[in-house]
Amino acid sequence: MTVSLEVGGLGNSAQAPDNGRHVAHSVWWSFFIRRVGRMIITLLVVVTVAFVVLRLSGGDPVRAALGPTAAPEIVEQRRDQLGLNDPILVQYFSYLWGVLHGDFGVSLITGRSVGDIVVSRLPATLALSFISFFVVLVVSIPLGMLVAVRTLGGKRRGEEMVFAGVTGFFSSVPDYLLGVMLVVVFSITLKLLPVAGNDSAAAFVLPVAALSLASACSLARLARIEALNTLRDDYVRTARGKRLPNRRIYLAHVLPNMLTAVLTVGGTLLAAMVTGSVLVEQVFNWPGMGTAFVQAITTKDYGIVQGLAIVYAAIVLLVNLVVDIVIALIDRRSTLLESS
Amino acid sequence: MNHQLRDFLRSPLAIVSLTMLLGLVVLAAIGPVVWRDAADATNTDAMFAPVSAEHWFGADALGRDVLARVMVATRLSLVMALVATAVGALAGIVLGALPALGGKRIQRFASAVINMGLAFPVLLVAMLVVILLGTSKQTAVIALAITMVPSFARLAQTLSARVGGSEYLAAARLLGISPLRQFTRYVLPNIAEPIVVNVTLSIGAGLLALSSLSFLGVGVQAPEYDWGRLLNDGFDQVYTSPMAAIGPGLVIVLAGLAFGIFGEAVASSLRSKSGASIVRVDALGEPPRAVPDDADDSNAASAAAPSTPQPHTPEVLLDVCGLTVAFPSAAGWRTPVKDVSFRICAGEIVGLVGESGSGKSVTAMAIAGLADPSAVVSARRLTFRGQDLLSLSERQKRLVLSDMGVVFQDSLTALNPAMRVGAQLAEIPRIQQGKGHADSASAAVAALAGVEIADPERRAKQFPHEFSGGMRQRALIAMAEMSEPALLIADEPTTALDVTVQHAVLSLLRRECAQRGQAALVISHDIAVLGQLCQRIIVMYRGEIVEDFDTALLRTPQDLRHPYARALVESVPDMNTDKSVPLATISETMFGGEAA
Amino acid sequence: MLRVEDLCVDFGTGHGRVRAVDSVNLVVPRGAIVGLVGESGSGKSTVARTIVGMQAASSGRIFIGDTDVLAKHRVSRRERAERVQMIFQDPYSSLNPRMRVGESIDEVLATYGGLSSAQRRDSVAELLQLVTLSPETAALFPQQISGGMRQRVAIARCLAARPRLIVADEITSALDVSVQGVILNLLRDLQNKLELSVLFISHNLAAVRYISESIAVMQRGRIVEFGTADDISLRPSHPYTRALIDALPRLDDAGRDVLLSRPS
Repeated sequence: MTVSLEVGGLGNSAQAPDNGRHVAHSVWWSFFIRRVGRMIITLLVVVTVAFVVLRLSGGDPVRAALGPTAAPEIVEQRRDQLGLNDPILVQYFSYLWGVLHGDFGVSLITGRSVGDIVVSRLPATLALSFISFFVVLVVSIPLGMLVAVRTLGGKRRGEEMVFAGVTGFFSSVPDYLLGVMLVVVFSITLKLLPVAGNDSAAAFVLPVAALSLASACSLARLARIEALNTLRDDYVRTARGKRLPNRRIYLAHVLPNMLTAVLTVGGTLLAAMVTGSVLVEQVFNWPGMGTAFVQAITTKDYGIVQGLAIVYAAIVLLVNLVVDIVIALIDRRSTLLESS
Repeated sequence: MNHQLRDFLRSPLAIVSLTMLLGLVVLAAIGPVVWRDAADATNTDAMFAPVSAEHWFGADALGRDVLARVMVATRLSLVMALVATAVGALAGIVLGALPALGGKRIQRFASAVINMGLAFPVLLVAMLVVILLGTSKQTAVIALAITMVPSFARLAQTLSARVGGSEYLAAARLLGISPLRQFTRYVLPNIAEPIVVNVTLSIGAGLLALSSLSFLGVGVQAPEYDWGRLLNDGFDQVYTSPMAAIGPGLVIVLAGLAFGIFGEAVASSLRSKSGASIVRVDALGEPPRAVPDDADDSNAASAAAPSTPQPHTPEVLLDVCGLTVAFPSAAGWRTPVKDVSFRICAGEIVGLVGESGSGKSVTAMAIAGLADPSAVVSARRLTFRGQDLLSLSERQKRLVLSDMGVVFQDSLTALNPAMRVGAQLAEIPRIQQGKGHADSASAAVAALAGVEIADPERRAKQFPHEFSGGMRQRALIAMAEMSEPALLIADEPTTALDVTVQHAVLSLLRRECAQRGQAALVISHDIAVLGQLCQRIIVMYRGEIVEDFDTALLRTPQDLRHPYARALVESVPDMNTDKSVPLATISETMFGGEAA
Repeated sequence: MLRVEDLCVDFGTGHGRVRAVDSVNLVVPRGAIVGLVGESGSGKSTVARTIVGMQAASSGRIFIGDTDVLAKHRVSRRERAERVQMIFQDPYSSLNPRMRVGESIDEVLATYGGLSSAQRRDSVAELLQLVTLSPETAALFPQQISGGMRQRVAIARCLAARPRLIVADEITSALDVSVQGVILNLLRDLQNKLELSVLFISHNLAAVRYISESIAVMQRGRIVEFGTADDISLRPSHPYTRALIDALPRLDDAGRDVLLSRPS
């Protein structure tokens, strides 16, 4: 730190750092390439670990899947079909080759390919996750900022406590549990909204609410804290010194600077929501990957479990990558700093 | 320490959460003993029984009482969460904190491992463990512990990197302190608190995660049961007896909340120790305000007529009389500015000097309407260009104050890091005077050129971090001059700068004022700087003005009236100071307030 | 006591390589205070960090006593610590916030062994008195004392290691002006009493002139002028040194509006 300051601070006003723009471009690309490389390596590790684990799991997965009553010939035939009798390295590379071509394995029971399941069920899962994430962002950031501005300098303590209490409570209600409660209240008792399926707009209300509420609450808490921190920053005082109207100060000076921290956490929330959708889908019998996943777990169909787990991992990694890039685009300084 | 603990135990958050936690512990201890029989008793008459006085949460498929089963499940649920968190936290801390003592290469490797771990989705880890070990409660605990390791490791790594880069650890290394002692006495104590908070929060999160694993059917297996298992069972009968699902669900939420609130309580108690506590303003009583005594205006009178007569006395621009600023603090109202009075005439450059804590910056910010939101500002009289600043509405005040420009100390943060410098200047004419985009942008470029920034078109499109310190300070001056104010308030305008750059910036400020006939109030801790720039200097000490004199008097400091003002001048060595005698010092007992 | 020969320090690699310290030669005689003055980015702090071993050198030799510390590896922690110590700029961050003042000094004494705990207690009290603090200060945490007092504790802790050379890096910059004088006076007293050899680094030429016998002026990694304090302040030969002196605000000029009459 001290080191970079010493060097960066060379020169006075006469010969100020002149190379900023020129350097920025290459720095940005090297950041991008490094980040994509990291994601690919992680994905490779994920796939390898998944492969190794399935081999190490002991016993015979086909036997476990087909049950103790299945005839030995059928088990052997299925093993042959799946290539489980090949040498381990051959199996590994053919598996890796398959994954590269979108072949994530097959069901040990029905022989149906994971790819089929993904193609038919991924859209429903993505729709649920991304709509929920959108709701989270739209609710939490304005709410957190509003409360921060209104409670600045210890004003309106009652309002602050209500906000802290409500968001604190709901951020610790797990999504699937909230789903259960919502079903009980709105579908069973009040009969206002459908219990299951995704065939109407109304069917989205409860699953989206279940998946987004806890995240929205915790992100609103973070947004408030970040807004308060930003409001205390020197450049906000500078903006007040310029006698700008409050609205301009909040929108042009506070919001962009609190966004980095909020989106960083928002990104991890989105990743958590993609996987959290597994349970919520289960509650609402949503025709997404999650219900297939849970069903595979219940029937011990580890071929599907493994394949879908890798797909989920890939989605999460991709989300992380996109969020990192978005943040780097918004906060140009962080990319520049990270590389130094 | 005890004092701190007592304060902590008195906070409402701590009382609530400790009560809840105590209840949980008691339940875990006696639950299986008291309710085991009721929980296991099958009753064919009560199959899927709804909520009743007998079965508060209803009964399950075998007619067993759900409430009793929830009570019994407390022990298993809690123990599993505690074990998983303990294992995960311990492994994470070792992985994250130890590399701080090692070399760069070890740190980079550990960091790569942690990054990889963080990228592994929790669900994938859990499923892999399940595939490897089968479904059981041990599997669930191990899976949860593994998923906790990377985040704890990252936390410990960030915290210990902060300690690792600290000067006190560098000093310890230089002093030859052994690595073991460095770890136990330097690294661990300085990272302990946030980690304790995080462990508490993680227990709550762990409870929820375990219950969701059981809910998925990969955790605790029948005939054993934890809360998640009960929730799973209850969900099957959610249409007939919703309470069988909601009951266990509520208990899970409450238990998770108990740990969550406890963690928050610990965190906020730690924050309050570091001085960032929220003070209950209403409990402090009335803030100290300006003494409403109009008869006693002698202070202001002497300020208006400094010791040497001014050749021509023009209009009074700023009139401050009895200014008092109070802040709420844990120990009651603090008044960093007490009954301060002075005047600034048009075109006059006045310096305000004092050491840290003297109240000089607070005074200037209160006048400029930029005091901290929690501050209570009062005065017998506070007028600018004849307008009473204390009685104006927010809107009118903003209009009047647009004639008072403020130059802030550049600390790299005085400019918005996310906005181009040109845009930060241009928004003043654009928003305040409603000018068009192009006009505003060219006005900004002209302003940058006016403060002698070379290549202003290109510079206007850059971000603040692409500027050098001296250039940022010039940009801040240009910004304050955008609306051609009658009074410029400059808060430590050269403190962060090298002497050669400081000289250039001071010259610039002086020329700007001369050209525009502007008045200025310049705040600094360096009396020599003010001696160059100002016509009059006001000395502040502990929130009060102790001297207000003509700058020429600095050449003969023995003529200054107040001993503190004299000492302030004589304690600073310059190029002519006699090296054979010790520097004049101010007895440190005068500075009791300096301690943090 | 200290002899630096042709010291170079580079940061970064390949195209991004920057030479922060360029062929620096410097001598601190036994029992003398030598000043090193320069603006930010001049490389003066890098010189300090390299001398105490916190920064690797690219080339050159640093003799402390008769040993070249850059050439000699494999020295014990204790040996290294007895050779050179540094006093840091900010006493708010150079003391462990979780350790009482007395313990901070005591652990240094303990590291060098040979003293019973009672003897160490006496030594701690002695050291504190040496830096004009009362022995009761030992029981306090750094947060409980003022910045000036903390800096004196840092000096006492440094003396506890009995180093042959002390590097003082901007030790007054983080302090209020009135306290700066106290620290400068103390350092001079200690130097007279204990015959310390000190490299005093600062951006403040006036402070450096006041305390040092000779002064090195650094600019962009190079030492541009080296001479006695009087020579440097009265007869500067390098234009940069003259610019530094001219830029210093003078009390003699107070109220004469020199900023308008003498443009930069």
